[in-house]
Amino acid sequence: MIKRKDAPFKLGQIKKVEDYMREHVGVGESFDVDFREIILLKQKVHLYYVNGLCDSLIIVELLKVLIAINDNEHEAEQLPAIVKNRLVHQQFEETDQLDKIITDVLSGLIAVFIEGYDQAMIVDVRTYPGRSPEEPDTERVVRGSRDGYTENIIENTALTRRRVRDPRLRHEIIKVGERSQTDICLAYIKDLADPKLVKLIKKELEMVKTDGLSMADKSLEEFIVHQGLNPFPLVRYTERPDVASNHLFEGHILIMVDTSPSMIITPTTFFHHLQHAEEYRQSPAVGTFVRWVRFFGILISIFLLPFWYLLSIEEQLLPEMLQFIGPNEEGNIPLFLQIIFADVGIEFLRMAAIHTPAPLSTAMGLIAAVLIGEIAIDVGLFSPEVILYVALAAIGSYATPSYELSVANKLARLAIVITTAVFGLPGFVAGTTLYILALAKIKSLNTPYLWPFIPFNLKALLQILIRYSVPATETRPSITHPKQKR
Amino acid sequence: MLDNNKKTETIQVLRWRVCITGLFAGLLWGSVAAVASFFNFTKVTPYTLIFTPWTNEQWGSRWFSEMISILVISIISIFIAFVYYLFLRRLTGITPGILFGLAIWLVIFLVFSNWLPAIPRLAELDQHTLVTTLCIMIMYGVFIGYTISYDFMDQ
Repeated sequence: MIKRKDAPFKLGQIKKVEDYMREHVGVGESFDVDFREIILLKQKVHLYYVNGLCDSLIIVELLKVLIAINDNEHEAEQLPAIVKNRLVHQQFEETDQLDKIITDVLSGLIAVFIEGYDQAMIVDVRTYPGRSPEEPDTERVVRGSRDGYTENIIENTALTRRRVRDPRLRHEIIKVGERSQTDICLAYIKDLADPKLVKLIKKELEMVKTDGLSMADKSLEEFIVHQGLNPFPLVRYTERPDVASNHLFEGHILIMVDTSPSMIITPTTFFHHLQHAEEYRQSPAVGTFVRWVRFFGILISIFLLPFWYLLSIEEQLLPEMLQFIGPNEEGNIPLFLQIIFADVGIEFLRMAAIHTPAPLSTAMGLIAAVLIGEIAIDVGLFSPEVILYVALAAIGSYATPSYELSVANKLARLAIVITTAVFGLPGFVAGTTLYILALAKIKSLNTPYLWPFIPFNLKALLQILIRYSVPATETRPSITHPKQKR
Repeated sequence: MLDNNKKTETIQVLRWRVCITGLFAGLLWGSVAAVASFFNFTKVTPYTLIFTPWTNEQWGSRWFSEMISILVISIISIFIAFVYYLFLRRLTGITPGILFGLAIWLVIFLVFSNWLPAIPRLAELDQHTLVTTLCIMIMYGVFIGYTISYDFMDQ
């Protein structure tokens, strides 16, 4: 890790600054860190910048204005004031801390040193390579706004600010990462968000000691929520500015990380992962229906497969009217292995689908459908019912809005299948109980994960079970501890 | 004066929430027990605990009497929740809830079964019933215990 010390010279000693920059920042070695000397009123003026991150047009414009000083001004001793006045850009600052200057230059700002003047002038001329806002892939809606966050943190704060014109909206910026110096922005509405939580998150951010956050939001998340071995997602991500601003109004706190379009929403509970923007684009009744179907799908994705397996190994459990359930013949392979193979097989498909190029994925889908659906049954590898229930469980996990949660639930499902295989009914019951207890025990940033189910809160639970119309939701959820309840 | 008013008000809100918690704990986990008995997970159901000690007759169909029993259990649960509120509300985490559920389960099958012959004794329970009822009672205890201590700490 780099230990930054104070520079042993004054910034007015422009030659020493140049040597320092050559030695420590690689001016002249790295081709992208650039340096230009101009002479103004017989004094040397040095400019440092990173050529890929600056807008050349603006730099040329600035240089024109600076060179014009030679024609229009005479008072050489007034040069710093003149230059300051002539640097025509709204984002301008002066500093004498060399390490801050270096970070700024490496972020794409331009630094101007003047001979004999002990401050450096910094002008924000950066333009980062990036894309324009697009609808995020994982959170599509049929109607409604199509913009989404991008990799640029400045654009992201702008997209939020456009929806929250509240003067009390705060965007606090913090730099994290010894080597990467990643910008992290804490967004919250000052008179709503819980000040204790703001303080807690700031404390966690200050404790982050790392070289760099190359995976941006995900790396940061692991630092602040202390994930450990727990597979469940402890924060919610969104790429939609409308979802983000809605959470701001509810008193949540957003964490934006530069280079990532995913915003971290805190505090989060299990049930935040079960919501989707689409429900709020439909009428309340339809939204409620969609939500129930989704809950049903998620329950199926966890419990249906182990439950069916339990019923087929212990047939006396089935009530009379459901006797048709359960495989008619044993098959050539034990049922347990069939389930594990089929489930792992679907996992293969899912993983393959993520990094297969689009033209090949059609072929892959065909192979999957024909091979697994038909031939595996024909050769006696799988029994048809296994395919049915494994497929149902897989579809149930795709209906989970949070991708992270669906994968964690898949792990839970396999664990319950295994305990059922080992202990039979006691394994299933105890496995299910342990699953719920484990969820109830989790706390994410001091928020109980299963709230409002355990601990129980009737009003909040009803708001989760039923999608209320927006005028009817008059109070903010108590889980964020909002400073104003309505 | 104002502070005092506010304090009584929060205590009232807290008590009201304890009532709701007890009621829904009974409704929810009673129903879970009934569904579990539908799949023959357990032979002991709310009906066994509420009806059989007093009468062998069923009111209407079996499921109707189960429903009545669940309602009765829900009302009893309000008192159980108050017991937790009075003595254990300061304990945090889910462990006190687990122990609370375990204690109620032991009371039912060790103490009540001695007085009321219709409730099976602990030794008479088959393995399936034992595990299922124990798990349901633990969830019931956590539901009541964790909710009450969280609400209390939150105020």
